[in-house]
Amino acid sequence: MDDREIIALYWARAEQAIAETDRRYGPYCRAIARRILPSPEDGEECVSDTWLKAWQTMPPQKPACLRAFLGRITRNLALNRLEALRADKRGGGESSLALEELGECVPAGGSVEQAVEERALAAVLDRFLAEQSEDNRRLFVGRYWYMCSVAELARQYEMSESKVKMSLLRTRNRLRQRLIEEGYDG
Amino acid sequence: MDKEQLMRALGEIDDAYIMEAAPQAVRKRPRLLWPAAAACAALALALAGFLYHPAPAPVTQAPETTQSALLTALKNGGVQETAAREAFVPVEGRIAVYEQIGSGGHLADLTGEPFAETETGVWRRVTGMEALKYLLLEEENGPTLWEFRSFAVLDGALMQLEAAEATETELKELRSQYAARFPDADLSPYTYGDVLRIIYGVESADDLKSVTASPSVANNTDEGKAIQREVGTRVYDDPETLQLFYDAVSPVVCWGSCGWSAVYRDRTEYRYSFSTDSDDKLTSGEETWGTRYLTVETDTGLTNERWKYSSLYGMFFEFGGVGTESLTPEQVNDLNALFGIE
Repeated sequence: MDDREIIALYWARAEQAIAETDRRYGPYCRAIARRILPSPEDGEECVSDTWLKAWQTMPPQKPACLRAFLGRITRNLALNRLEALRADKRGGGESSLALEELGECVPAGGSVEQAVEERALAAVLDRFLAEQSEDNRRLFVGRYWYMCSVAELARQYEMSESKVKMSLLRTRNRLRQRLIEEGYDG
Repeated sequence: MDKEQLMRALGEIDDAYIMEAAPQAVRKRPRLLWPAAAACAALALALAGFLYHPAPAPVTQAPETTQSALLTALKNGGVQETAAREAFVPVEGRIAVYEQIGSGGHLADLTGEPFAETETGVWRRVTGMEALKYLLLEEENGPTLWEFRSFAVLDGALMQLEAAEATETELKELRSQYAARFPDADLSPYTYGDVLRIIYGVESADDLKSVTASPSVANNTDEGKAIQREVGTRVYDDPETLQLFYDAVSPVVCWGSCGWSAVYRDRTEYRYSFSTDSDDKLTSGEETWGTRYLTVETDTGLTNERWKYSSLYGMFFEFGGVGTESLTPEQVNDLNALFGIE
């Protein structure tokens, strides 16, 4: 059953949509949730929430890429859950490390109160990523979108951990520079 | 802007960047994105790769292998997969669609007599297993394990393509491919009675050991879980109930992998909805009340976990887009009474 058929099930309000989604994209979304959240139970609940969110958003949505659409929902829900856990002092794990690293890209003097439209910032990020080499881009998105550990990325792309770290460091520095140029320096 | 906002904004980047960086278990070189027309192409390739060389079913005299022994052999060092590949195998005048579910482990120890030969390779029975739920395919790195999904149904396949907005030319091409590749095969809709008999070796209700009915797990909200607990899991193993079940499911007509199109065609609304309070039968809880995921166990220890009964649609559905024709009101009443759906 391909994506178009699964989306058609959501539009027909057929609960099989969720079973088919879980079968096809369950492992992918679970992997995303597991990297962000500290416990498998939290991850599992996050994936269940993802299917319900998909159910609530299709229709009206008809995603061009169902995999990315679901992955994005999982990531957002997992980050929400992580925030709640942090407030409860139960957060941590790979996502916290990734978040700290990403903090290096935020230009000094930037104000927390500064109103930033996520979409506008995402557009800047899209342009920035388009300019990176494919290898650097995969590493950056792997680390900060999927929250893969440096060791995982090194294994996946058959390179040393130090090389992965160096690539990430350089990409972060370039991003920081770009954000300053785009006026995100407060 | 702070780091949290940056992390959130990163979540909204272009799909293409998300896809190209998706972690893979094994990937030495970057993969190309799957082409848009993948479904049609895959089907065409699968059909093109098929050779119709049925071999007579041999009489096996090896010690019996149970389903649990087979799956244990796979678990011990093997790899379990979910519908990694599909293939067509001629079985009793029909074309059975099998899905690869595993490889490695001790499968080589359970490789039985040849069953059929197609261009995909030589298909073998599992040693000492008469039923055809599982087959082993000879491959370069050892046998792979395959599980029956459905029979090929031409009209179902056409409906699936139609639902995917295929052109007339594509539909015509599919008809020609089926005609060329399966010249003598029966490609009409089949019944669940056919599946029980041909694939599971079940000739009558006497060959059934039990039927287990569990609630649907699609709605995992707190409310949904509460309903699941209330519905509970029921095991039916008394001869009278098994006879009722066998009589109710045997005539059910299945369209194979039709992408649910048959369902859409027959169902423009929930024909058997308990209430009209909500259009959203899933989150309102109604679907959880009215759906049962079934496990049918045979007296040889085989289980069929594919059939899911929806009293709201008045039909069965299965993973992989396999759907049945709408049941008659009498069949729905019988099944509802059997599973205690009121």
